[in-house]
Amino acid sequence: MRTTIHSLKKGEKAIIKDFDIDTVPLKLLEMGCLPGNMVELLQIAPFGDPLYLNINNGSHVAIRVETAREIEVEIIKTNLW
Amino acid sequence: MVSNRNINVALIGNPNVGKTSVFNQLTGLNQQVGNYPGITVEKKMGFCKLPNNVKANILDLPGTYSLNASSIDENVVIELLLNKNDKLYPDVALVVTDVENLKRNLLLFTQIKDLEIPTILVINMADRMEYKGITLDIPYLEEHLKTKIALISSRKGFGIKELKKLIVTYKTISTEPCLNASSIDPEYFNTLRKTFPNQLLYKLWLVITQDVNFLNLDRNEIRSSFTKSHSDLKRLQQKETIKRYQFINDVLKAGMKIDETVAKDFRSKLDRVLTHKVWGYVIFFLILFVIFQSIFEWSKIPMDFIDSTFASLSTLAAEKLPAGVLTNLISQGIIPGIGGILIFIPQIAFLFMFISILEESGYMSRVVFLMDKIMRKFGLSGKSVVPLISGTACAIPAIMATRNIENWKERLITILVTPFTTCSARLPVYAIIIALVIPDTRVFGILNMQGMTLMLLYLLGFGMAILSAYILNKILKIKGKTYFVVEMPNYKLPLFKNVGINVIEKTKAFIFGAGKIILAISIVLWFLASYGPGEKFNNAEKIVVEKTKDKPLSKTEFENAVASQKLENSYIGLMGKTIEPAISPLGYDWKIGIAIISSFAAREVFVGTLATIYSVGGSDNEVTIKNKMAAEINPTTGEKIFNFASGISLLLFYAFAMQCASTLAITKKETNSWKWPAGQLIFMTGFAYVVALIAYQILK
Amino acid sequence: MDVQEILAFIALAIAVAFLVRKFLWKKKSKKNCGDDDCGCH
Repeated sequence: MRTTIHSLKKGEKAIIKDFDIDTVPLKLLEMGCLPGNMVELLQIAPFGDPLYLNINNGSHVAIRVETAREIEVEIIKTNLW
Repeated sequence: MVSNRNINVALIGNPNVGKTSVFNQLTGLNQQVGNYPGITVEKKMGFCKLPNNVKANILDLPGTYSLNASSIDENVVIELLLNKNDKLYPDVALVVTDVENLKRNLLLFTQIKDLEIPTILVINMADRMEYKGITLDIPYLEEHLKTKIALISSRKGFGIKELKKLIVTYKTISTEPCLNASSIDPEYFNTLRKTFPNQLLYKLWLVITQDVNFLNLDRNEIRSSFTKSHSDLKRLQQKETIKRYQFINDVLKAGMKIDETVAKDFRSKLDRVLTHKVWGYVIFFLILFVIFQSIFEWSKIPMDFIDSTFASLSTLAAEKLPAGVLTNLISQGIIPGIGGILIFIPQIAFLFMFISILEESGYMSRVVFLMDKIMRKFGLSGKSVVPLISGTACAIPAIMATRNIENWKERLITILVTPFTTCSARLPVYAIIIALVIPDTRVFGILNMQGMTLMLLYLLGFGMAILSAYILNKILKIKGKTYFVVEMPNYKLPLFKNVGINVIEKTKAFIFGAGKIILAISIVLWFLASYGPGEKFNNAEKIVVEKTKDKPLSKTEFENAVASQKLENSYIGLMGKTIEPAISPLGYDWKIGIAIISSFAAREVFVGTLATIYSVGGSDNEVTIKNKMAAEINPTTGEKIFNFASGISLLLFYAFAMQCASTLAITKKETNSWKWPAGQLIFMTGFAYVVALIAYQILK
Repeated sequence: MDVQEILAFIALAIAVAFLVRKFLWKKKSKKNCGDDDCGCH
């Protein structure tokens, strides 16, 4: 199973890898959701949907899970010390 | 070239950057809101005097994230920018950005630059730079973005003078694009360039990828010469976006520095509470409760004032103007008609004031976030919350507020069900019926029966809205893509000026949208009530004299009797009598029938019509109307007309029936079709009939 | 019919004309958003 934005836990950060251009709206890309950019899951709405993200360090947006599921990411592991 | 005409300045930018504030700062109150021809997008224009005696027309375009439009609003932006012949085509474009979101805001900026219009970069919210640890190298940015920059704070009011000076110098601003976007597919664009050498390359690109009306070139002509599949085009758009962001990242890396250690973050702290699983909803409902309470309390005094003022005006007109038909029309039809419209202004204005404050502060996006999942179960969107709440004031501005719902199906369902929510116009009807048939007692010592009934009616309205949404969602087979992408802006203190101007706009929408229709129908109704065919109407006086020759009446009684006779035999009276067989199973008589018919103009007309029917002399004393109504007996059964059963039946009828011509008009406009308002009328009224029928038959 | 009546009936005519235009006029519109998206992907 691939890791998508939907897999993120609250507070986790990840780098965007890839997505299906037919299901992810262009508008989201224009908000900064591009491969190589960072995404952080800030809040999850009650009932699990939608998701409140910080994209590309500055763009605060909420998207529905059905869109989040289409965006593949690589989670940034924080080194615990 | 010496030009005496005003220069055109277009304000473009992302939503939530304070573009409206900039607009307000530049134009003051010299602004007007209209409509773009053919579509329901608001056109905001204003006038501004610049230095050196230059006058400017400022056009506030709808906020958009890029020139790739995803809604009608955004389409307007491109259509204007592509058409040099449009009289509003800008001489200079002001791209308004927010210093905290510069990266994203610049995407639109680079696209505008590609259109070779002189462009000024306005960086707003400069007052927050220190707070966020941001420093900008303005000369570097100006050089690489090929523009002139104005650093302003529309909130604090600084930088505006400098901006105005900058606008005047527009002819000296470079129109060179700041990056070469066509490098994403050199072959394709070169071919395009060769085939249409006289057109701007980026313009061609926009025409190919967008659904815009391009006047000079036939879109199909372009499309057919270059066969790129739909998904190829999408891929190119993606590449374009990536390329632009690369450019922006490079420029900002050198031109902008952020000291993270200084940056403070108020937003996430507040978000944690406001979007909390439990507290989020609690706070939201508390806020709603406070809003509704305030609206009710605060509206009472102005409403009473408007009521008595128009009553006096009506009497005044009748006394001072020369006697005659026109005077009667004015004092009995037009003045009460206008009064009936204006009386709702307090409630509507207050509600929109609250909604505007919630939107300006940024809180509304959080509400949408909280409510989206729940709403979707009923075929609605999180964004349907604002229209549904607005519907408790008036459905007209509420339906207009659905314009920001991207998914057509969700938007349509919201438009169709919003009229079920209890709007202000139903309140006078509820008030008088409740006063007549619900006992004024307390249950369990604290709950007032009349108050409870009113609350139940409100809940019924909402419940019905949600239920019909659910049903419509199952029935309607409409495809629509979901693009739910909602920006969660920074929290900010609402600016009084912005809220004020917003409230005035919405209220005007109600007054002129609904007002004209209600007034026109009031005039028609007055005629229908004041004229009648045949003997029984024209010889009313003689007939009354005949009827009462054994028991002569006093002057007032005689006048009332004649008025009664006339009404019964006027056009509208005959209409009421005609439908009487259909409505008597609901417990209504022909008099109520008349009132119901007139209510199709506007629900609140019900009370005024009843007042006329029950022939109360000069002043509309509510107590007297109530007494008369309470005393009214059904000639066949010998029982009271207004009893518990018929009262409940009437309440339910008014709760569900589509009795508002203005709502039908706006639904037609917003859905651009006949069938939806027709469906509303038939379904809602039919449903109301059945429910009222059942209620009466059970309760009688 | 006296002046007042004439004026009153003119008002009526205007009102009716207005309502007819509002509700029964087939406006020429470029886009028909009846059942689907208004072409605004």
